[in-house]
Amino acid sequence: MIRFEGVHKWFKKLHVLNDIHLHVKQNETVVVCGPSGSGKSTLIRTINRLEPIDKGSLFVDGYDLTDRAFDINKLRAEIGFVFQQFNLYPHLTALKNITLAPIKVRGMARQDAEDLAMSLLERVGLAEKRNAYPSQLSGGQQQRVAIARGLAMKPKIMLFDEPTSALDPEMIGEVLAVMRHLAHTGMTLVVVTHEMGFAREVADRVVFMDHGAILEEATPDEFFLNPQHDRAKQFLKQILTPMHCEM
Amino acid sequence: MLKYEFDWSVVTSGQYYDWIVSGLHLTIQLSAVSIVLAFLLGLMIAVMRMSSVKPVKWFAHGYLEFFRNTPLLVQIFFWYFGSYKILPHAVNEWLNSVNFEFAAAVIALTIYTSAFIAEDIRSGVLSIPKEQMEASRSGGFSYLRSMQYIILPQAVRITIPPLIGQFLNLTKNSSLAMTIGVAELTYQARQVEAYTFKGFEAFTAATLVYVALSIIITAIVTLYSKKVLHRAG
Amino acid sequence: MKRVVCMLVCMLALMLVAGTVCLADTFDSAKKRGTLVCGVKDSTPPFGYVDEKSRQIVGYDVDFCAAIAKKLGTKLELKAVTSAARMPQLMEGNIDIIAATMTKNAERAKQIDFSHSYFLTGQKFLVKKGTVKNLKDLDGKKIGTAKGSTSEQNAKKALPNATILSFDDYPQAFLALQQGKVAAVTTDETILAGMLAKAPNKAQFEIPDIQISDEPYGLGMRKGDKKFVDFVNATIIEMEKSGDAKNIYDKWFGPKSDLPMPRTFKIVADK
Repeated sequence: MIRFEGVHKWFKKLHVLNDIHLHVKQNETVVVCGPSGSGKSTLIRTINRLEPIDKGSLFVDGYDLTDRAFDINKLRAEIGFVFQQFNLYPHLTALKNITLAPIKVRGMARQDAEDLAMSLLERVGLAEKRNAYPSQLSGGQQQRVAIARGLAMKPKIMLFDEPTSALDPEMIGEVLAVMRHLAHTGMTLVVVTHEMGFAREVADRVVFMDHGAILEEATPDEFFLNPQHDRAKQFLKQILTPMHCEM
Repeated sequence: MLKYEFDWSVVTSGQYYDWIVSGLHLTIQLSAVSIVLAFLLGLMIAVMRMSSVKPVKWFAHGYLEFFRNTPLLVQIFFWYFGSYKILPHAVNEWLNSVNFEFAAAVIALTIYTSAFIAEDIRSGVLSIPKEQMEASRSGGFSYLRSMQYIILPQAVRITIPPLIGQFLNLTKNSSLAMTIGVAELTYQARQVEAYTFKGFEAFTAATLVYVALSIIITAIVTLYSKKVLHRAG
Repeated sequence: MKRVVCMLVCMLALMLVAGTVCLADTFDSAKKRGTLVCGVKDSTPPFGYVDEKSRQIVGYDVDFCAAIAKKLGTKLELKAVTSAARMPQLMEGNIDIIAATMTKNAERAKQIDFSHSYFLTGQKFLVKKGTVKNLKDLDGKKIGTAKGSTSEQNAKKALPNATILSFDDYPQAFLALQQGKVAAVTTDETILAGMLAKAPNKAQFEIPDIQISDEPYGLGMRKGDKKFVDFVNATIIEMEKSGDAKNIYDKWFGPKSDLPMPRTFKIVADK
């Protein structure tokens, strides 16, 4: 579904992605973790070309992302992206946030789109907030609407870029619950997160990054019980210490 | 000893009152048509100005610099008299047979004001967080669709106060249309003065009407933005 | 809202004050100042226009101003005026006398005093050659003229179905005619002839023999400025007697001029 082959990226002189090789199969849930500045956000943003790559090749759903000729919007419609800061459209209600792309990009009938949006809002537990504007919702609620917005396009892949990092602790649970549910439905997920509990429970594989490179790629059990790399060990020690659990 | 005799009846009833009213009608038509067109054109130019396609961007940049830095009066003369030299004969014939005075004034007012509106909208767009564009592009919207559905609706909301200013400027600037014979409000006020020599009365009436128009435009735009754009509270 | 109302009230109050301007006798004040300020046209040949060589305003009206200033014993200062602005400028004291192709009529005479007529002409039409035979040919057409002139009012009366387009001044009206934007330019024959004489493509235009009004020109002075009005009237009558007035006419309209036209009038006291 997603295949990185020798991918490099630079921000000016900074080498943010260094020879990335990674293969995410259909229906797989992959969690990417690592200290801040390790390049994990950049990695996930290359998958829908929010960040173009400089070297190597990257295939997503059969498309070659280094090929400038293909219609990126078509691919993006197949990929849901959930941001750390939610990025809901502040001028639209929760319902309209969800129906906009299905109607305008997919050409779905308004009624169908609204029915779909309502079922998604029910799924994330926010049916009664359909007419609320983003500014009237809590962070956790906004993020759940954002997930519903991504799902409304019936995507093949969902990407999560630190979806809980901007949330108050008491709201993290509600968002993770929605994501957990998603993983169980068999959608292809790539999740950048520090929520190791979530990784352990739902990930098929865990990828550990530092300084732009993938240092370790393993099943959750292997990774958490027997990390190979020194820096992975150090990272786990820090993040699993209760003092740092909210990083 | 010379004394000016006031006679307000010239502008409150009769033939001259009718002139002022007909001038007002034309001023409203001229302003309303130009405001709508200038707003739409301004949106377009603003989007072009921010385009990543170099020629489009440079065209919009040149457009803005050129039309913002040329006096409106010159532009009105350009479209009315100057266009004659560059247009084919048949087009001129046709233009002269229709109400080209009004059209030339609308074109000049629209283009001149659109340049200012475009800059206001552009600064509004620049104040929208770039994550909004990322979110909409991620949702499969093209750049232009993102502008249309996500960025511009938010930018325009922020831009309302300067936009009102531009609309008011346009309404007042529409008085320059009289230089090419469009019988709008100021033109009619001058006519009343020329016929009755009651200049103070005529221009006071015109002034009051312009102030009233400005208040009405401000109210309409403010109400519209409150009702339609600011529902989010 | 309150502030807007307050501002309006203030503006009105100012206008009321400005409306009652008192001015001293022009005869004495101009003499004391040593200059006579004369409002003339600067783009209406041959009455007042900028001479290509000297870059000075010259013309029939200018020569009358010069003669009056000379008689008064003052220097002459010329100020360019438009048809619409000349009367307010006189009433506000910006100029002392108007010599700007101004037709005498009753409406205007309520506001200012006129001298005896110092020129006589009639309102006609300047059109593209062969397009207009009689007045009917112009009905329903666009007619160009200049703002604030009697030409506009006469044209409206003579051609009720025509659209009158008033431009800021005659050259623009003539440009509109050249570009086919109007079917005719209408004003006093002498002004039309003057424009035509200066036009590069004069062969394409003509002034058909359709006259819609008599236009006696008078010099305009402030209402009630009796001493000055009497002085000006005496001066121009004297100019007629001495032959100076005819000499000025011949300079601009005589057989050797650009615009040869017979002199059909004499400057005499109005009845």
